[in-house]
Amino acid sequence: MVRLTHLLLASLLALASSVLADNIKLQQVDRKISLNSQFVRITETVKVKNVGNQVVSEVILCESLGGDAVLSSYKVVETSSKNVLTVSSATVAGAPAEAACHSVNLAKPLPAGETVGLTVTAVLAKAQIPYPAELGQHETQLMLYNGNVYVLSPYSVSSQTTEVILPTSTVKSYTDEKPVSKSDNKIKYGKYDLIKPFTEKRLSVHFENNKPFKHILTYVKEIEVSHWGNIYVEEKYEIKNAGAKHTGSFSRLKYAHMNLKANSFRDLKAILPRSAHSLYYVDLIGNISTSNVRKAPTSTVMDLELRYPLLGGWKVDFTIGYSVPLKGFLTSAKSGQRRLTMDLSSPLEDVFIEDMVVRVVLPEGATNIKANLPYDMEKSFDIKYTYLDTTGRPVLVLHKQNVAAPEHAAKFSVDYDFNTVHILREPLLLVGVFFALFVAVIAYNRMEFTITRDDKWEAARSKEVLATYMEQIQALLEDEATILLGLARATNQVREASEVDTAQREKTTVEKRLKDLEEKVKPLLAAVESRSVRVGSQVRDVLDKARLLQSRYFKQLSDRIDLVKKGVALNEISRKLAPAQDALNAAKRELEGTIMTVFGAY
Amino acid sequence: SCRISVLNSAILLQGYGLTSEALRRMTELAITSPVSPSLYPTLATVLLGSGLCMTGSFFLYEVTKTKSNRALRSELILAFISAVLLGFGTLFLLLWVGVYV
Repeated sequence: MVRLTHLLLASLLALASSVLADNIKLQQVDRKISLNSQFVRITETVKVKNVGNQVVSEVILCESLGGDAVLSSYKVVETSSKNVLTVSSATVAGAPAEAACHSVNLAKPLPAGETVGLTVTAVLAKAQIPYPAELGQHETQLMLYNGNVYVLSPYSVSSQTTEVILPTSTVKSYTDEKPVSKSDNKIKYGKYDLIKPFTEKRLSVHFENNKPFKHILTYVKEIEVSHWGNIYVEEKYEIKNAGAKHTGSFSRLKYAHMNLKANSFRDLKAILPRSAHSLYYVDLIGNISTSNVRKAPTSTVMDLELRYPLLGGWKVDFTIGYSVPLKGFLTSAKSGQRRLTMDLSSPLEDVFIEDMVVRVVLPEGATNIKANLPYDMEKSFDIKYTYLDTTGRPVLVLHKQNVAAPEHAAKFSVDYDFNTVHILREPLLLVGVFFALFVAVIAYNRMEFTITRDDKWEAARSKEVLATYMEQIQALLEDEATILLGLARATNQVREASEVDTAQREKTTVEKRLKDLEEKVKPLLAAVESRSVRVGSQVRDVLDKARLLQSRYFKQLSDRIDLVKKGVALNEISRKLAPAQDALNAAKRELEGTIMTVFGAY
Repeated sequence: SCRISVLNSAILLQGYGLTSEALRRMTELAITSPVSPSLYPTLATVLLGSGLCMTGSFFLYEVTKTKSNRALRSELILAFISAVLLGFGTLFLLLWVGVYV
């Protein structure tokens, strides 16, 4: 009677949502429950028949979850076309408390009288209960699985079979619901005909399972992108052995000698991208050296050993890090958006992650950040300050719970706008800092720090002013030397009578320029004399010597012109002018020496 | 080789069942650093070396010229060139040792 009321209620509700409980029948359900690991993997092949007279576009499928069990992954695929169908969780009135129901949208609406085949893949975590809950070292682990003998369904099932696959053939007990048969490590329940909707019959299997129960309590993955050519990935783990808890003592000797490790484990395997480099495996203490890395054709395989073996209930934490180059991960689309594609879940094999956080740190100046995810995750934003940052880098934070490693291994991508100009923020910051240093030096040099202006300071000041004038006079003398050098060159180039005119013109220009220099020197000389008579007379000496040298140059030029006009041969000219030339060079060297001694102190 | 790697990643994506994604991949360009990473050591050394030389000449100018003979313009030009060379040199030094900023 109660069942009938439930049915009526269900059908009323279903009417409102266009899914009638009695217009669909499941013709054949073949179910495989695999208990061969820490997860419970259920695969169902369902043949759905539309026995009503209306088109059906939604089908409700349920799983039974008992106790702490968590449905980590639930996928429905159309058997013939392999199309993945969209699934959303639904509540069905009349369903037992432990049923988790999903509403599946069919790709094509099912006409009346037609059948469609669906394949359901469900992964349950924490569904195997350790029984006994505590073990000593090296005792074999026994697990208890509580499910349902019949498929929980809001529709009646015409025919169904269930196969339970166990890790070993050791089974302590299993539910005896005829027809049932056990062979080796498989228990076959079936075939059951004409089962009413939501028929409950407890399926309980108590079996041996020494597979490692690797539970990662918290997993934080941080991906930092740098457009200068590198992507850093750092993953922090806290891992626990979620099998039967260890009680009693732990003997390291016994552990090393005995072959049966029961439910303990120490090894982990991580599959990383092929181009990963600069790997590290550390924890708070420091580097963990028990690891191996090798390159496979399409990946890098990292074999890790934890610091100590984990027996039931024990936990440990560690950090893995690596870098990958940009190639293969960072691309730019035609629209100008940048796209980062990376693995979303953990690279470790066969683990169950209770809390997963993925942080994507994008370079400063990235805007308009969007994520394309293979499954639902919570998104939020954060800011991270690291090397050479001014405003901080935007961080996209993705959060998900109850992730099963093999099923959730997929790639995700993040799109963002990044103007390449922003890549210059870092060098410009450095340039600015260095420039500020130099400006500080310039400012310091222009500041006067003496407290009292006494005689010593006055003397220093006047010496400085004198030095200014001397420097300027020295600069003028250098100019003069350059001009005379030009004149000497012009002199040597006079070889024929025709070149005499050019030489004369050269001479007049040189005379004019030397006269300009004289004008400039006069006020400077006066200033120097007013400050110090001694130094003034020294400078006057130098200037006189310079004038004498000038007249030597001019004489040399006129002698040469005369000889050329007379038509003397070139080597004759050189020979005749040689002694005068030597005297000129000696005078020049003497002048330079004097300039050094007089002006050197300033 | 850039095209081949894009093609490889497209084929890999097809393995994941994202066919339209794979097709789109083939029309996308890989992003590379503005400066080829193999140039980082050379650039770092050259820029830092010349930056230190310019810094040296800046400080020489500061200590040799007398107060009234200094020109703010030439000081600032020397300082600016040294700062630019030192700044970029430090950046490439950081990139060379693996601190990808």
